Amino acid sequence: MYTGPLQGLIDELGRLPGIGPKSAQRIAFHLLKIAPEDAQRLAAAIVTMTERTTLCSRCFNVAEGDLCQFCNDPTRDPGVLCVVEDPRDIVALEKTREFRGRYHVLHGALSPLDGIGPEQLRVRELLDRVVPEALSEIILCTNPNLEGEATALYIARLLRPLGVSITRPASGLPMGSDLEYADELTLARALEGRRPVDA
Amino acid sequence: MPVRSLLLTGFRCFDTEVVEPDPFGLTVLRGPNGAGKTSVLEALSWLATGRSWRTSSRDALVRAGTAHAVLRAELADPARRLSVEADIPREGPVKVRVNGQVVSRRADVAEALRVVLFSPDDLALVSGGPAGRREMVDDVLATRHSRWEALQRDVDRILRQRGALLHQSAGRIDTAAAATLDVWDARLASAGTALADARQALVDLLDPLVAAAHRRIAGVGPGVRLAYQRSWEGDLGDALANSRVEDVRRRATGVGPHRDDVLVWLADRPARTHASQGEQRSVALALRLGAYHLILGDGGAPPVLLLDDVFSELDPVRASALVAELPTGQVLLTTAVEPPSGVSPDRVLDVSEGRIAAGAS
Repeated sequence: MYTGPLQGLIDELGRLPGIGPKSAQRIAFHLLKIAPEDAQRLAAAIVTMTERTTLCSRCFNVAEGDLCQFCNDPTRDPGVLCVVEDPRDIVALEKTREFRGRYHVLHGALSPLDGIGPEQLRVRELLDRVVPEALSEIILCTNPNLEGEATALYIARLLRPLGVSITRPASGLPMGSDLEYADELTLARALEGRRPVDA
Repeated sequence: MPVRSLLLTGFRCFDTEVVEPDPFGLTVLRGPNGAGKTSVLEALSWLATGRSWRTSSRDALVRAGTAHAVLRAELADPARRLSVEADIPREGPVKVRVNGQVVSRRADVAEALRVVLFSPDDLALVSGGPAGRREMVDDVLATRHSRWEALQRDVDRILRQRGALLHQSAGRIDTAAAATLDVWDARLASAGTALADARQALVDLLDPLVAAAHRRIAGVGPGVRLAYQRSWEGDLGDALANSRVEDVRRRATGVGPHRDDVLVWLADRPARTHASQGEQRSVALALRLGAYHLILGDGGAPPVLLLDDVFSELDPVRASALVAELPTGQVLLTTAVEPPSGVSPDRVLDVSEGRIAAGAS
């Protein structure tokens, strides 16, 4: 145990994901050594972030203000929606520069073991967007694991009566890598989804 | 591949000990009860399968006073150096390496090291409940292709997700919960059917091999027959829908691959209830030998055969029949009694109080 404020900081840091007691101690002692204004800047950054960052009232992405940058962007295709589990997935999708529609963040996937049902996800809010926004296509971009697939199937069944086109990204081989290094489950899945070659 | 040497560190009663079995013949491990003979077989079986048939507790595997057990097998591959190593901490994730590379799939280990184990507990394969028989079939599937291991994991996780949902519903299910249950049912129907199909195909392959092995052990007499029995008829999705009311009430999934069985018949009667204990033991041996021959037929080096204390349980006739059955590959055998005549070991190791020494044969 250290003196009051120092131990207090170590305890707080230790609650962060991926940071154990040892790392918490190391970070705290590092902050003790650096210039006070650097520590102030870090503290201010944390406060500003928590005060100014909200969830977009439409798509539940992280946002500054009522709507996120994508919902605010008039050049985005308003008819196509990509449904993801986590705001970080949006960053990954944006890097592709392929997708010009808007997003909807569920904040998780169905997992009864973790106590996550549809009520814990932003599913209702997704359904409520379909008609007012006149959506034509919804891409279900949940993770390609058991829970992500189940979530996609669940949402697809709810969307079906609404007459919107529902798609899911193909699974396949990573680009720029060698076939011999592909894991055999991915490879088997990619073979299942093979397509004719236009020659 | 045959095992050239096995290093045991902090495993069971062993501090640091090296076992060098004969790579191409029969090695007999002899010693009094509690000396650690079975633990040597357990270590090899753990390396090949990632678990022990004796315990599910890490505390029992890791020697008192140590935090880790380390197992390392050097294999007798004629073409290259090949090793399988496992780091088993008392708590936390286990690391298994093949030639220093961390692997996470049983099939990756199986390319280097495959074992078939006979233990006195095998009697439960015939006399016990269906879980042991399903596990035996699933084990063989997992070593044959990583696809089956992934499928087993999926089915297991879907069942746990569905179970959690049933539990949360507390006996009543509203339309919203029913819609999520529909999704898990759809997943279970496809994955469960695929797993049952794979098991059925394997049992169909095992059936003639087990029958042949049984004829050789028990001599001519009533034949053994195997059949995979599903816990449902027709479509699994329909069966899940039909059992939903009951499942919600009992908060458990009543149909699916986790309720299936491998039926074992002796002379057209269920061996579980109608065979004597001696007959059941022969059938259990035949099941293991059948699995051995199936794996052998897949190609590659023959699996290492591990025979734990088998002679104490068999009458002399069956014991010598088993000895005659022993394949030409590597065999490790433990015994506290003198092995029956006809057993001519290529190497004898004396095990006592956690020490292993070459013995006079």
